[in-house]
Order: sequence, then C-alpha cells, then structure tokens
Amino acid sequence: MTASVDDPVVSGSEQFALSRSRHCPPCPDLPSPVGLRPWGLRWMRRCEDTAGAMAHFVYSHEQQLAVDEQGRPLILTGMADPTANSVTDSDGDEGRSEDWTYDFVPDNFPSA
Amino acid sequence: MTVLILAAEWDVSADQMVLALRERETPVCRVDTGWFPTHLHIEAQLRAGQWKGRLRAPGRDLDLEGLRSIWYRSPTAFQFAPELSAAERHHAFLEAKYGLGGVLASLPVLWVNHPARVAAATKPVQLATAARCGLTVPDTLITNEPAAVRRFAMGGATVTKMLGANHIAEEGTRKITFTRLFDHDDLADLRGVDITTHQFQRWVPKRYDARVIAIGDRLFAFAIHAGSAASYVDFRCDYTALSYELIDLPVQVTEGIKQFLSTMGLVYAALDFVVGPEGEYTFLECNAGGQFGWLEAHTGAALIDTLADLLATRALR
Repeated sequence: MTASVDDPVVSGSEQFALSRSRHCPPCPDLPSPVGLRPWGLRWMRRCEDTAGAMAHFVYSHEQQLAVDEQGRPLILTGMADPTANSVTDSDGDEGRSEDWTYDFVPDNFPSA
Repeated sequence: MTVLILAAEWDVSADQMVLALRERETPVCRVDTGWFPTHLHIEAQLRAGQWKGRLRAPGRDLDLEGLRSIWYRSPTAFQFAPELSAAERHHAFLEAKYGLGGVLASLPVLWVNHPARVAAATKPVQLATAARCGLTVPDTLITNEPAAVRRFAMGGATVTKMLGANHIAEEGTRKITFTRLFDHDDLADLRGVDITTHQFQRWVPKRYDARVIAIGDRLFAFAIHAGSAASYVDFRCDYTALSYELIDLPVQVTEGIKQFLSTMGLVYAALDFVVGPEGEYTFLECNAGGQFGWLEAHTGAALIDTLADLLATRALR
C-alpha cells in the first residue's frame, strides 16, 4: 500500500524504522537514581546470553542466505533453528530487535 | 516481477522465505539497509509521478519498476563511517532514511507492511481501534500521575507493561522487562512514574494466551499454554515452558480482527489475546512485525508458504 504519513505522533525515525545492527557497540550509560529513572525501568534485567541462538555464519550474497564457512545454507543444515529454542529474550512481540518500532532507534545511530 | 526482502543478514525466517520464493520460481532480491552506503546504492529519478531507477547491492541490480512486493522485516540501521561527527552522522542518517526509505516507501507495490502503517500502530491507537472494531480490550490507564496509578490499582488486579519496546541498552549490555503484576510494594513507591507516561492494565483472567498470525486474508490462531508461573503472566518470560496448538477463532473475533487490520492498513500482523475461563477473547496488542517462525516450527502451520504466496502472487495495489 502507499499510505501517506499523516499521523502527527509518528516521528521521522519511525517512518522507516531500522533495527539495531549486530555490529553496534555497547552502550555504556548507567541507570539514573530512583526518582529520576522512569518507574517502568525498575525491573529491567540483563538479557540472558543469546549468543547461542545466533549461529556462527557468513552471509552469502549469491545464495541470499546465511551459510557456514563451507558455503552450506544453515537453514538446510539444521544450524539455523526456527523453533522457540532460538527465540531470544529480545524476540517475541516486537520482532528480533528492540528497535523495530517506536522511538528507540536514534537517527544518529553509532556505527561500528 | 521481483519480491524485495528487507531483512537483516541473520534472519531464519527470511532464509526460509528466500527458499520458498525460489520454489515458486519467483525472483527475489534480499537486501539489508545496513549495507548502505558502502554496499548498497540507489539511483532514482522521478518520472511521471513515480520513482524509477535501480537499487544495487553485491550481486544484485534491481529495477525499481520490476518490483511486485516488499517484505519489510526489520532491516538494520545504515552503517556510516565511524569518522563522521555526531552531527554529520545524524545528517547522513536522516538523508538516507528520507532518500532511500522515502523512495521505497513511495513505490506502488504490495508492502508487508508499509513502514508508515507499522509506525502508526502505537499501542494506544491499537487499543482504541480494536475496541471500535468490536474486540474486547482490557481497562487501561496511561498516565504520568502517581495518584492516578493508585486509583486505578484500587480497582482490581493490575499489570504494568511497556508502551514501546521492552528493552534498553545500558551498562554495556541489553536489558529487558516483561509484563508484571502490580503489588503493594509497587504502590508504596511510585517515584519515577512522573518522569514519563506508563501503561497499566486490569489483569484479565486467563486460561491461556493466543497469538493470531494474520497474513493477507488468512488468520492462523495458536493457543500458547504456559507451563510455569512466570510464563503465565507473560509467555515471553520462559519459552521453554510453553506448548502450542492450532485453534479456531470465534466468528466475532475473526470479524473484529479483519476490521482492525483493514482500519490499520496492515496486511501482516501478530495479534496477542488472552483467552479467559469461559473462552472469551481479550485483545492485548498487535505487533506489525511480530515473529511467527517459532509457531510454524512447533505446530506445522503453513505460515511461510502463505506469506510467500501473498508476496509472489497478490495483485498490486
């Protein structure tokens, strides 16, 4: 569809939302003191290590698939797990990335 | 006519879609916006009211006029040279978003989903729209006033959940929070509620969760049964404790969902419901980019094939 953007609460960032790159450097910011920190962030906890969910891979532009070092598509070798076992803490209702929707992708996203 | 997939390099469902489209002998071009500007190039000119030109990526030279559909599936952020200043990077990022993103968003092709429709689907809009479409929604409070939170919590069991993403990046890591039941300790210390808006909802008695995957005109409904206390409140807490089954939707819920999707301009969606003790459905939220691959893997529902058919064959709008 070719919807026009006429929603006043949709920011420029959201109008073509992009997700966090896996090459993005970590954010060193520290939590603010209680009272200044938004109440809803009180129960934030570290994500479990999700490295196991992302197999070591190389992207093949020719096959347009993630492949192993021998060029075998991981989706065909069973190394790319589509089950809930591969759903990371950041998956679920917002897509793979925390940045899929809303205002969480700054437009000056730091490069790796 | 080509299907363009905008997705990250690591995306199992995108891999599956590439294979599904190949089986259909449908030309497919997969691109990650994170390749821009080093490995992704655009050349577009406005001719007779339509942007015409090419998108070039390693091994791909895509004619914009040859596109049938675009699957917009969480592609990653542009990657600019680290030597750019913050101001320069901000400028470059916005120019690319309005240039590359704007040209693509203007194309008269089937989008799954159009970025503007995804962006407009904020939770307050969703809840209001769902209610107008005849779906039952929970009593909900959005406020930055602690007194309003106390009044609402006095009315019954309450949960709190994010309006936007449920994760942040800080302290060198990523953090996450889930929907949680409000307790007395919460009421005793509401410092920080006034800092920004927060969402509170009445707890809905639950037999199980249901996720409905909408693909074009087809709806696939899945019961998600919690096997632990944590996953009973929010199934995302503990995927290992979940079990799934395909279920049928009540007619009224089906009609409400279809009206909701039409109103929101969405052709794909993952909609979450609570199913109560008597089988009543309560709409919680709609995720225009929600995951579905894990549900297909656990139930065998033909989600990838249905979406591939939509992308490959649906008439252009």
